[in-house]
Amino acid sequence: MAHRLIKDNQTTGVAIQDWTVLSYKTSILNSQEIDTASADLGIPIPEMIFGNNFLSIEHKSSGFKLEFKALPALAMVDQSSTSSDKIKVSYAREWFEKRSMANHEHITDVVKPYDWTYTTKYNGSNVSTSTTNKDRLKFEPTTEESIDIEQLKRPDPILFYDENILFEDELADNGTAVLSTKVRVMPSCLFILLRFFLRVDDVLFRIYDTRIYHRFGTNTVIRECSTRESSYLDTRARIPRSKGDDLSLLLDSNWISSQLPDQESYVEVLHLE
Amino acid sequence: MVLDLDACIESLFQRQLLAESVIKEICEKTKELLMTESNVVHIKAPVTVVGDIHGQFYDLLEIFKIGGYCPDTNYLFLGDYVDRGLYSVETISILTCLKLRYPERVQLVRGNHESRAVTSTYGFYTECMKKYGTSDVWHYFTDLFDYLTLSVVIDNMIFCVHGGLSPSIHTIDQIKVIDRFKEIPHEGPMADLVWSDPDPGREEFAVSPRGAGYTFGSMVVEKFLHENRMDHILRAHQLCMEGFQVLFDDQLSTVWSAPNYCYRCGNLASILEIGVEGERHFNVFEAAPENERPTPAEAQRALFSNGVPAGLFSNGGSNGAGVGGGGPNGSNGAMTFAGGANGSNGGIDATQDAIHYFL
Repeated sequence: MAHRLIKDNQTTGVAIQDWTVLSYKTSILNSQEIDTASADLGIPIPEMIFGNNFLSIEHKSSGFKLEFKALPALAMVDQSSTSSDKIKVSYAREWFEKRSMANHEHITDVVKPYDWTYTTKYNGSNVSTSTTNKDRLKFEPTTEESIDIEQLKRPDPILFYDENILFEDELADNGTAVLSTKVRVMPSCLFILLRFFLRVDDVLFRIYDTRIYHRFGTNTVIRECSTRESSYLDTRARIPRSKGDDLSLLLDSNWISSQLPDQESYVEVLHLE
Repeated sequence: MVLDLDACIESLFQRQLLAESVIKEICEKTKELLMTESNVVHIKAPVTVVGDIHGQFYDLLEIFKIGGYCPDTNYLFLGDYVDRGLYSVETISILTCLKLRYPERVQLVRGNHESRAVTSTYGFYTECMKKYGTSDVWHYFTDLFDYLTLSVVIDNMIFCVHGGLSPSIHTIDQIKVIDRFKEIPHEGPMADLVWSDPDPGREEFAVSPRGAGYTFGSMVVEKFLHENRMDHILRAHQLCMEGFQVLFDDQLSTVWSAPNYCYRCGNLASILEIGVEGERHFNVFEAAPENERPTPAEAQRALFSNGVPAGLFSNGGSNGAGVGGGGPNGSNGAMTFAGGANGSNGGIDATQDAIHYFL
């Protein structure tokens, strides 16, 4: 399959058939950009915010284009009044009790509630511009289509591979929250994994995955989304005994992913014109 | 054997790790020295202030090149020496040696990463195990961390701390009475000093939505400075793209000294040079040039040399392209947790490893 690799300063990618896959990486946002983004979103921005990075796939003849970016993902972080009550750091109770003893109850000012774990169900920004009908090029629920995992397991040559971190925050050293993309393009198909990975030390693990799959020559793009989570202790108990006190598996999102039970998932399909 | 500190410092500058027994002795002696320091150390300008380094040893070498070497330049380090970068052991080894060798000219403040709990998750513990084969070195250093001072005051004018202010602390004297010789607690003034962050959008203290920790606003800064007759707060702790940030009408500065943080953020770093008149100059710099870093093979060896405290350059000098420099967010950035899913290569040139067949 004829393809052309794309590489300039900050962009890498591949053009294959009627498709263009691009990954753009640059530095974290500067203070001014952070102030603007924070004001727009209404929440503090994660410590490492690659707000200008993106992964995009575009299908020229249909006008289909899907992008993955940090700021639209952060716009979906829960800001409801109870959003910051759902998960607290492991020592929050102790902290509040001792604080009362120190007579700091007068400090009642809590930063406007938001989900400080930056959990997001973002599954990409559909920025398609259909030339014929703007109601086309939308993802619709399906029970008939699914991603061809067997094909993806074949060791076909990979023409283009890339990883791109969109944001990362270590939750003031209480864990980690990372949103990142991976993409691989093979002669027969392209495949994307957008993953939100959360570890709150001594509290929980959570993985929200979005997978995008297109087999070249077909007219469908498939999107599968899943949400999974498990308590920190249950997950830690799954570390093989042979590892002893070595907890480094808990830092490996791939291992965590292999251990978390499925909770909820759905499949969508989009028809190219 | 008599401890030869100059030789230790020299070999660290040559990227040679110290033997475990030497580290033990240095940590013991440094503890004795630090025990005599107050929770608030008073020093005089001129002094060069360094923020978070996080194991980016090659950038620390760059700092000495830019800011001058000890003892010609006085240094105040604001904590977070270890974790995340690849060379926490080298970084804390050289800083400890310099402190012991030039106690009046080098000040080391405690950061939130100078703690057993945090270093067991964020890299320092793993690095010690990989470079020495046992956790002993980690124990020596983390025991030493309990002795580091909490704050420094420059010329009675500038209050320096790793994180920020605490609602339990109104005066400098209240810091002096903290029992600091212990692991950093989750709560209380000692925790606040190493953890809290300024919030330019508020006036008072506020509780973080995480359920622990404070942010402090403009009135808090104003009151603290007024009450203690000072004119500036200087702290580290927060990554910023520009390498420094000045807030609250020039009453508070953040200095950040880890360029291209975690080998992928693409940020600048700075050191803050404070002159005898109290004038402040941020000396901004980028990540150390790649040709001054170890080659990929050398970086790997440094990480995987189990039980062998060999130097980073045990096989000779450094040549060729470096690792760990990388571009912003570069796919060749070596990761903190070696052996994890993130290898030292990637991108479009190496596409047949198992890692590329993610599902």
